[in-house]
Amino acid sequence: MSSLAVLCEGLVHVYGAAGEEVTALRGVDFEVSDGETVALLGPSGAGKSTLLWLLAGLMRPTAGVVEVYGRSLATLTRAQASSMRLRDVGVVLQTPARNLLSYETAMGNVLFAQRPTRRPRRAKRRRAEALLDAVGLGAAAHRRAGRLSGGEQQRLAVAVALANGPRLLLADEPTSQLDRDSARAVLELVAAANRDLGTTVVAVTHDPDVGVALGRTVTIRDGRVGAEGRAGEEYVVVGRDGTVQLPDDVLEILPPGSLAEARRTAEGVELLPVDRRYP
Amino acid sequence: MIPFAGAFRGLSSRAGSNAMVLLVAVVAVAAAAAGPAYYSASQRSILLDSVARAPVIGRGFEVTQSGSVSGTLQPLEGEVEQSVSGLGSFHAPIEAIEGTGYLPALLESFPIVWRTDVCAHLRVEGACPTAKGQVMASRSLAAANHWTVGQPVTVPDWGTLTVTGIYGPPPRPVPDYWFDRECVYFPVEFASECSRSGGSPGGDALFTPRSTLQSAAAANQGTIVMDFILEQSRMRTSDVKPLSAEIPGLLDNPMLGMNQAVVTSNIPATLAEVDRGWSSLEVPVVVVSAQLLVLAWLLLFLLVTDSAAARGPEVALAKLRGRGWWRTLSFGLSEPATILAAAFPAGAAAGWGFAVLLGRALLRPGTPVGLPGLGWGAAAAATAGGLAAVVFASRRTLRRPVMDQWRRANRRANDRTWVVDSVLLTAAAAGLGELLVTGTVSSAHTSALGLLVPGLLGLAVAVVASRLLPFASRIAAGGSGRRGGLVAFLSLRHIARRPAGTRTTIMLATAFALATFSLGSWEVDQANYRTLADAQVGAPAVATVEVPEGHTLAGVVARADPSGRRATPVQTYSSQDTTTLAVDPRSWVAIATWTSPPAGYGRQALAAALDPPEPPPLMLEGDEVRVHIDVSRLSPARSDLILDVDTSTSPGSTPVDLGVLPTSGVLTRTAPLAGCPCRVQDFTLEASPQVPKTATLAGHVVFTGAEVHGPSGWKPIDAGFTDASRWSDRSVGESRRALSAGAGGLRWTFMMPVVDSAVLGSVNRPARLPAIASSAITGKKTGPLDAVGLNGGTLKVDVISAVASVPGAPANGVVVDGRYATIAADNNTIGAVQQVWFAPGAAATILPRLRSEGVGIAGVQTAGAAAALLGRQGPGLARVLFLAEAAAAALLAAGGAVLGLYLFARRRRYEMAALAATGLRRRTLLGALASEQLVVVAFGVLVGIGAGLAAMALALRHVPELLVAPPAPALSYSPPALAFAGVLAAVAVVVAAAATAASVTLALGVRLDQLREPPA
Amino acid sequence: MTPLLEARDLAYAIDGRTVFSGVSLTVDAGERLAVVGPSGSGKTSLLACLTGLVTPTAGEVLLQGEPVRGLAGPSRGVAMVLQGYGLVSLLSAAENIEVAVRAAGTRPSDARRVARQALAAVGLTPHADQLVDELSGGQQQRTAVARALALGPRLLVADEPTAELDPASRVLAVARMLEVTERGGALVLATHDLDVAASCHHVLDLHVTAARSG
Repeated sequence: MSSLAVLCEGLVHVYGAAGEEVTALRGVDFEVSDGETVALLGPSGAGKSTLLWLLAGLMRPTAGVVEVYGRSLATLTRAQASSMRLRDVGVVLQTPARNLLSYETAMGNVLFAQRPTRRPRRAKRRRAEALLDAVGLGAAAHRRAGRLSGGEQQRLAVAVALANGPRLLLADEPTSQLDRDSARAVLELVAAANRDLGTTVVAVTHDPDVGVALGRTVTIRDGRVGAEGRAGEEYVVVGRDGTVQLPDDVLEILPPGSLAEARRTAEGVELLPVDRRYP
Repeated sequence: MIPFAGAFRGLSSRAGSNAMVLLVAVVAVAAAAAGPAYYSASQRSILLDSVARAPVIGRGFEVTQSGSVSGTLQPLEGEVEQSVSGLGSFHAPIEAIEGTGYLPALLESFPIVWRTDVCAHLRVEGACPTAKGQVMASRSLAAANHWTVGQPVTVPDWGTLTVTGIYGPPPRPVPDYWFDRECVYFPVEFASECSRSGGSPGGDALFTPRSTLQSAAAANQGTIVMDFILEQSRMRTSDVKPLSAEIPGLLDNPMLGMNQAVVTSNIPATLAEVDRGWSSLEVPVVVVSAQLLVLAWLLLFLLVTDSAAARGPEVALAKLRGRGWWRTLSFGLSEPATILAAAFPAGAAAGWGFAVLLGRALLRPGTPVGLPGLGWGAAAAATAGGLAAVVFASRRTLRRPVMDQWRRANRRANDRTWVVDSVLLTAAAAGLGELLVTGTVSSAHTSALGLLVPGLLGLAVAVVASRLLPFASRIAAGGSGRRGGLVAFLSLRHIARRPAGTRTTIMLATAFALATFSLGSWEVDQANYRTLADAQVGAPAVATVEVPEGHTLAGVVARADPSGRRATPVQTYSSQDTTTLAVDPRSWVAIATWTSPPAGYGRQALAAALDPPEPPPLMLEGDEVRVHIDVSRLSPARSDLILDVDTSTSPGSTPVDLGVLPTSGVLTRTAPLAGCPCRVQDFTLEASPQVPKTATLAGHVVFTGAEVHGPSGWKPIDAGFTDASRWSDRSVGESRRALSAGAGGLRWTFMMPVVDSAVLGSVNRPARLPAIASSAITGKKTGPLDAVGLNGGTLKVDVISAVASVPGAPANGVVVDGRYATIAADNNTIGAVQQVWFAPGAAATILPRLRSEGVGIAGVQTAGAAAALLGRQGPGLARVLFLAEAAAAALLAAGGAVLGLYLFARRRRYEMAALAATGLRRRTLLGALASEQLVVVAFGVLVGIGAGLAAMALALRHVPELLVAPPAPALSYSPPALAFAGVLAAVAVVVAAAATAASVTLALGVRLDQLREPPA
Repeated sequence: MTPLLEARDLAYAIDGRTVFSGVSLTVDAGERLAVVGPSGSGKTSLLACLTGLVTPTAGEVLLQGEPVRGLAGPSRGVAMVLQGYGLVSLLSAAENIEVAVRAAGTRPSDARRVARQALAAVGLTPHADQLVDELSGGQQQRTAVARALALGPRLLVADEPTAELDPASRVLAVARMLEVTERGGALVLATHDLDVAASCHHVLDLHVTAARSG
């Protein structure tokens, strides 16, 4: 079990404002092994970010199981969740500026995120410098974070998220506000972190390039895992109640609401629209 | 861990709002610190003022003991010094030993006195006595006995004393040194003041060195005196308590009582007045400081709520990074806590500086202002309160889950503030109700709480009004959807939906209610103090003077001010019930400050009415007078005819004895005159003392003529014997009399008990002098009144006009013509106080002229100084503190509002530029922004002013302005309209202008190239 | 025929730093131009020059043959979608559009209707009366696009108009923007999205331009 970084079973989450309840997740089954890199795809409002926040311990799930490294997040106290984020889980937000204290220097931001330890200050600084070098911001260590470009800021955000050497890195649309080159640089950093540090990566995105870069993609639609992709191939996922979400290109043939016949074939299943059934 | 550099960067990145928070925190701490500083300095000022004002017996105490004059003082000294040690600071005691001497030839007794250092306090002609047996005598005693310097005098029981010097009396008012014993030492020189109790006064004292008394016979009894006077310059606030505790004990000291030593003092009354002054200030200082402090805390709370919300993303980031509860808390509070820590010393210093400024402006000059321990304590408490406000304000942000920070803020949740509002409203209404219902109770405690009315009323009104503005704007906005321009469209919606809208209105309205009330009350106070001072002093400046020998007051004033329009002579005499002012009507009516108009007369008419024409006085100039009389009948026999005249050399009437009259016959009587030219007062006929008391004095006498002997021989004088209007029978008591005049002379018939004298008076003044009097003594009626004359006797007056307040003696004044009053007083005005009243600005030029004529200036009082002194009593000081702190609150609120509006608008710069880019004209943008700011600010200010005015109408007369309200003149409770309205209008305009200027600057600063970068 | 939009040798420098130089482009009626390039290459600045928000340091911009001096706004048939949206946060989505169209001359009584139609076109009808403060990023972006489209512009200049949109909303927004060109207008887009760039007639890559001239 310890080889599973993330385990979700029947995860349900409902946001409740009185009389206005929104069900964001309707029973997600999802696993990530230690050292894997996964991209969560799907339309906006589908629940990807909700899943990410639950994994970060920022919310308690309404129902279902969610465990990070064997620890159930449903029963965590706030202090325990906080401690988890300090040691085990790093988070990168979508807006580069939101990941940072804009008035602080790059170095200061990394130091801010560092865990308080008994180690002398100099050791901390050296570690911070190493991190900054690793993301290519060594020369910018004393520049104010607010003055860096968007791409530099996001790279700094990755460095900050990795400040305490977490086992799990959660990223919410890390490249959506960046141009192509910066996006590529950030993705490379994330991949490097996975490669060199063994950090497990779960990134929410609607950029298919990110999916390609990370290898495994999981598509969440309408609060459930609809499809998965590995090595460029897309597969639909059959839900626990037997539902299947058809991919976009198939939806043209079978739009929502249409009647279809499901027929067993030798290779698998065939779905034929009722009004286009071949004789 | 954020190292210092990081914290500083954080603070400076939001420098604007952090500076505002710092400012408000400093004001809060300063408000707390200023109160105790101001109060303790005021205590000292009130103490010194009261002590300075007190008569000498209120500033010291006297111990007297009867015994042998040759005894030593030591035992008494020892006991007293023991009791007094440690009690405040008294000057070294003035000691005296008073024995009695007697001159049988004169049937007079007089004191023989040693007093510490007496020669330094008297003008001595000759030499001060230094050796045993040497004395110095007063002018009057020396004159009466024809003593000269060097003369030996034999006094029974005392042996032969040598007169080494002749002294003149001490000046009036009598200096503290004499400790009210001037009637003991100078009964003759001070006859007019001292002879009230009747009995023969005796003679003035002989002063002698101690050795004379110590070597007197043991049987010589007398009084041993020790006088202690407080050293004012060294008095401390901390002296009051021990003095209050110990002096009463001293007054009843058993040890002293056993030795028949008597202690008298009025210090307890003085200290009681001090205490009243202190307690009248205590509650207001607390109330006023507390109000400003609470207001500042509220503003701090609101500001920090804003800035904490602005830091919300950072706090969320800290939580996201896994900072534990404590680290997040310290991170979230680090900025405001740093600001508060800086505010503590800065605020304490500012509060102290503020108190210094107030002290310099208001308190007794020279009062030092320090920051007592309580001030530091209050500052610390204010800082702690500020910290609590900060924590409370940040609570929401700190406890907010990270998720809420990123999702859209649900603005509808803010509507829970209506709960807070209703709580505030209820509390305010309850407080107000209680105050107004019980407000008529006139204890200093409750009425000073009237100072809370404007704050509470302002808050209540503000809370209601702050809901009305967005509501009204929403309604108006609905209307402007179809009609109206874009300016209204934009501004109305912004007014209705501003996130901090109600707060701005509440702050502005409350602060301006306070400021309006305090301004109004201060102006009312100033006007009332001025009115009171004008009434009490009587003119812009009044000098108390001493006219040199041989001159009259009227004469020196006329020479110094020939125009008669800038200075006027006034003589006053006060009895227990009335104060008489003898004036020169024309110039006095013009120069005196009238705080209420005299009933029924304009000024010109009044002056004329006070000075009706009367026959001129009959003057005799020469060295002898001869009178021709035809006595038809006269009984009893041997009745004496005396001519009473007023000479210029001695006070009072001088009798010229014309001799005993026969029972009938025509005769001529001659008598010498001394000190003439002199004025004839009357002929008095007195029965011989040997006649039995039951007899009747009756007669019929005709005066046919009179002559005066001068350098060129005898000359007849026009005595008016042919004019009955020039003579009147002034006999006292019930009598039958008749007077008529014809070609033959003045025929006088009279009959009265022999104990009365028959008096034929020269008519040189009205029988009853016309007078103006205070309505407090006449009750607005006109008619006859008995006032006190300049010689202390009764003066009959006829009140022609009652005034609510007589200048110079508001509640008990009687004003008569000076010339007539002097005649009526038989020229004996030595006991009257001589004053010169000045028109505005005249004192500076005329006083030197007076001095050059030899006139002694005993003191000058100005209405301005008197008003200032009134303002220095406890209530006045409290009001000024209120005004100053309310002004600070208003400034703070207005500044906060304008700054808040500016910052809020600044955050909208991007969207304003975008609006411009979509084609909105700059003029429209400017108009929308300006009208939004203007409406919000003007609304708050106007609501506040309105609430302040309402509070004034409700509470102003309940808050005391003086320790003791005088019966006259009447005080007004509406402020001088123009000044008041002017200030308010000016302030409102300035605030509106500031808001508009801020928005204009912003709107003009909107540049399209700001759209190149999205907002941070 | 005069091109709808033409830029000759544009250059822009700020604080001494050259943002771009030597840029020339032509867009005819019915055409779409995509401006691509890494961040910092000056896309926003170029768009700002084209609409007259800033004055270029060299070169000139011609709109329908007339030079652009100062803001070229709705009065000249130009509408913009800004990177920061520029919506008035205390107004609702509908009110934002009302203000814009009223400023451009629409009568107040018509403005409300126009606003609601514009919002319906981008699928925001349920949120029309919500204050901008309460909308999500994507909803705000769609409102900004609706506002620009409601002005019925001949030239629509949009800076990253789809960055925050999910695919479904993006499709809707792009379709609406394309309608501008279908009606004979022109569209200039700055974008990262290569799909969007691919659907345009011209692509101007500032990165390359800089390298070429730099």
